[in-house]
Amino acid sequence: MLERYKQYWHHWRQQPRHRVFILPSRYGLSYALLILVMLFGAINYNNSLGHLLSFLLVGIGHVAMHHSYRNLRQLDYQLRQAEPAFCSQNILLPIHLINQSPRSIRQLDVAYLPTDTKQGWWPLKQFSRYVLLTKIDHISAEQNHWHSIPIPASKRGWQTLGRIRLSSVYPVGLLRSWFFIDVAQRVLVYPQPAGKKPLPFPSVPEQGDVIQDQQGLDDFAGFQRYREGDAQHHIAWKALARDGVLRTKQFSRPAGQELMLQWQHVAELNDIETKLSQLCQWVLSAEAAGIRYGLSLPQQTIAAGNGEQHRHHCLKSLALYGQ
Amino acid sequence: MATLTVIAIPHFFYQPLWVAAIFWLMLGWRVMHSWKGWRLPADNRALKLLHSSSAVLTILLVFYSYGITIGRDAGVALLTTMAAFKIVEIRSLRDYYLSCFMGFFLIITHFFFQQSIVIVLLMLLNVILLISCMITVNDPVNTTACRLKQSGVIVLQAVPMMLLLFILFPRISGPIWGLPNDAMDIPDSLPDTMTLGEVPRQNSAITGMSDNITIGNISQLIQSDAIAFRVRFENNQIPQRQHLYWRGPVLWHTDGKRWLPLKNHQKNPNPELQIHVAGESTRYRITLEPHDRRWLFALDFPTDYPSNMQSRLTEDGELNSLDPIKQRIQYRLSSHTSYLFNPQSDSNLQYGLTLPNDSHPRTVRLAHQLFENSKNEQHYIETVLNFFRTENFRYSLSPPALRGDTVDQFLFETRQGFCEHYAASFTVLMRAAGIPARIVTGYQGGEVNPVDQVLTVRQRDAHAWTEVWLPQQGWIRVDPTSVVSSARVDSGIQELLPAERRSPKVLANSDRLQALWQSARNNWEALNSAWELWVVSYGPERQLDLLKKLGMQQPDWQKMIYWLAMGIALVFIWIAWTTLRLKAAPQDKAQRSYQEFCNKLARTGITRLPHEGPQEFALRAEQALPQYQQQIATITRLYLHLRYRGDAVEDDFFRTVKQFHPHH
Repeated sequence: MLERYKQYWHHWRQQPRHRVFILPSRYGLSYALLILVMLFGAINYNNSLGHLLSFLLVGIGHVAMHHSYRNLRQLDYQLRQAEPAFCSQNILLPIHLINQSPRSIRQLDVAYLPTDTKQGWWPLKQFSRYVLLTKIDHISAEQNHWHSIPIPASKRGWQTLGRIRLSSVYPVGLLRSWFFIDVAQRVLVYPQPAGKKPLPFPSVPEQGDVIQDQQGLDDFAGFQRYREGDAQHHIAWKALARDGVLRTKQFSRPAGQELMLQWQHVAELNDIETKLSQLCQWVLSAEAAGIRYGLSLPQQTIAAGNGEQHRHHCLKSLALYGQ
Repeated sequence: MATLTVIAIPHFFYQPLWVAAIFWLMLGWRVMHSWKGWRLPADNRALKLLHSSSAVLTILLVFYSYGITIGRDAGVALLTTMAAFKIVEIRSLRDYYLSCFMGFFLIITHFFFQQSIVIVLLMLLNVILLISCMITVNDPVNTTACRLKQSGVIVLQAVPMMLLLFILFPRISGPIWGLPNDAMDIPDSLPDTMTLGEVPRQNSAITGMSDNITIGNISQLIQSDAIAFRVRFENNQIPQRQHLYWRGPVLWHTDGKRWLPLKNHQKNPNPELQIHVAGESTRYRITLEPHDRRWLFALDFPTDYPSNMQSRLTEDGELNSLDPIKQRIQYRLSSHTSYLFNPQSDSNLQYGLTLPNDSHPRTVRLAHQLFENSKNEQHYIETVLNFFRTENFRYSLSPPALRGDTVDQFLFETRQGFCEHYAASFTVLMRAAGIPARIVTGYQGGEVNPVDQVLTVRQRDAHAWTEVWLPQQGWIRVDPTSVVSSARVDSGIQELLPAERRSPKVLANSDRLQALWQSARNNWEALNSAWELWVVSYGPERQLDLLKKLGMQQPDWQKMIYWLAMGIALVFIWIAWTTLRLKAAPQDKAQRSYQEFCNKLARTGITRLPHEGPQEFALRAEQALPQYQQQIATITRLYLHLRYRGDAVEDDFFRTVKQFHPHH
């Protein structure tokens, strides 16, 4: 017997260590009011069964509290580092939700408190500031669930992710239980790619003929296995149809033909953010087109290059420009 | 939506037709919306206008038919129709919850009309349905069966808390504010005057005993099976049937038709009663249904007062409470069935001799004639009873109407009647001969339920009899009805009722079925009387009673709160334990059995670690307990085969696990 309780204790210790809060929701408060009115009526009319019903509703409220708490108690999570995102798109925060209980977990609301909002003096006001991001309907018993929480990227630069609130009003909606996840991550937000200006011509310092160089743009260099992030229009669909392997076509141009994306190119745009957006757009286009490109900003110059790493390097310097 | 309908339907029995009509109209609208895509008020300005204007009209209609004050009936009508209007315009979550809450309110309003077990079970079902509605809105992906199960579990787990609060929550006796007049139904009670000659109206809504008994009122009462009171005799010593006269209002004054009690100024506030009793007293406890009058019915003749309320015994032997009986009450009494009542003198004797001038000439003549032929008063009474016995009088629950001089017409022409007719005409005959007489109304008999030995007295047991005063003997009860129809007193009114009032017609042909029906009914009624005693009429007094019985000394609200808090803490822990139990019992039988095997090993100190598979665990267990190696291996093999190959026999596995008893 003692052994069994030891076992329970052992399990208990292994429980997720987050603290689950619980408070009545708006409907829970009106439910309480309803019970009060009913009880008052029952007392006034000396109606014993009215008492009985009011007390049953009290009991239901009480049981609902336990059920609501249970729904979140045995939910554990692990966070991964979020990938950088473009401004005004969503940062996808990968979260691994682990249901440790022998029951399903239902109806999770994932809400997010942006860090820049000010703390009010009234603690409950805080709740209304949480923005509902996504809902998770169901995590089966003893199952894991990978989920990406889309957090809006509001400003370029480093964005510190604030608090995430996992909450649920399941089962009856009278009580909301929740716990907080302090993400404590810095995620890089690239500028928003925008702007209609065409890619500037590659300029080669020594040689003159620009048009010739541009012809070399589409020199086909071979296939490479598809990697995430490769431009879709470079996928070799024919090859895919042939053997089912996803490949992308690689293009190269003669060495020395490089596209320097320069601050001057966007000089006529009057706003820094617009300039950065245009440069960002170019970087993406150039990367997609397979051109070797570099970046020249007032305080920083990045030598021409190509590939995922290079792209990130360029975008990062754009993101952090002036910060 | 369907739930609201289920809740509302029983209300239509108490509500005017238009309430039901509006409800079904609105419901139909909603159904047509889901079925054929009819427009809802929200879709269209004109429809919206129609909807809200009809809602306003309905409210006005409620005020028009019930008056400005919102009483019980008006409130329920309003609630029912408003719930119906709400159904059509449910759009947001808020509307949804509002309708659910309205549903709960509709449920509680039922209890103002009906408090039977059946209605409570029905309402419990409704609560489960409503909760499942609330789950639905929060979890739309689940199946209906799952949601119903979940809400059933929630409601079931709520029951301990409910019981705890029900028993221990300090009860306050209401009302906190004034009750509207229709706050309760007075189902039936004795009339308070009596008028001879009216034909009883059938199926009148509220029949009752009242201070002034009109002839015909009692036969209306006989139409009613409503319970007047229940009696439990101490030691289950139930007196003989012919002693079961339950004394109620006493009537003196008559205008020839109507019989009235003593006027207030004629009543002596401090009467001196001379009661001489003989024999053993009968002790009993009466549970009286509310009748909104002051009478406390008592077995003739009560010899003490109820201890738990203020009451007084008038000089004509009425036991009255100081306040009208507005709720079910319980009191203990003792009575003596053989007694002398005011044998020396009675201050009201002159009222017992008065007859209206110039009425009942034939009756008076008959009285004089019979009295002259009698030796003494005693003999005269015998003669009159003989007159009833030998002349062609018949006991009838539907006598012909009496016109003109009612007593004369009854005695010499129609000669069909029931207790009222006989009591009234007998009293007139006595008074005409100079013997003080009065009418006592009340109940006679009752039905003993063999299951719980409770005597149930119903409105149909209402009865009227006569008391005459003789010197040295006091008031003597004379029941002329028993002379005409001995069955009325010897076997009770139900023998005189048509057979279909006793059991359904279908069963009437078979004695065995009838006996079965009777015993089922007895059990059901015993259950009902326990229910009414312990649940429906559980109030402040019953609460104190129960708590004393449970061993609480001098219960007061502080102690109740204290125990309530303890109890709530216990319930809290219990529910937390059941909901958060870390390992739920595995669904699978084989797994459960394997768990049992693991538990048995755990008791010897070999605990299966969370990461260990069955084979690893078996290996470790075999090393620790080499003497059980064979068994452990067999069990593990069977389990693995059962789980992963499905070719082992389940019963073998269960048996080996059962037989496995590891020791160090």
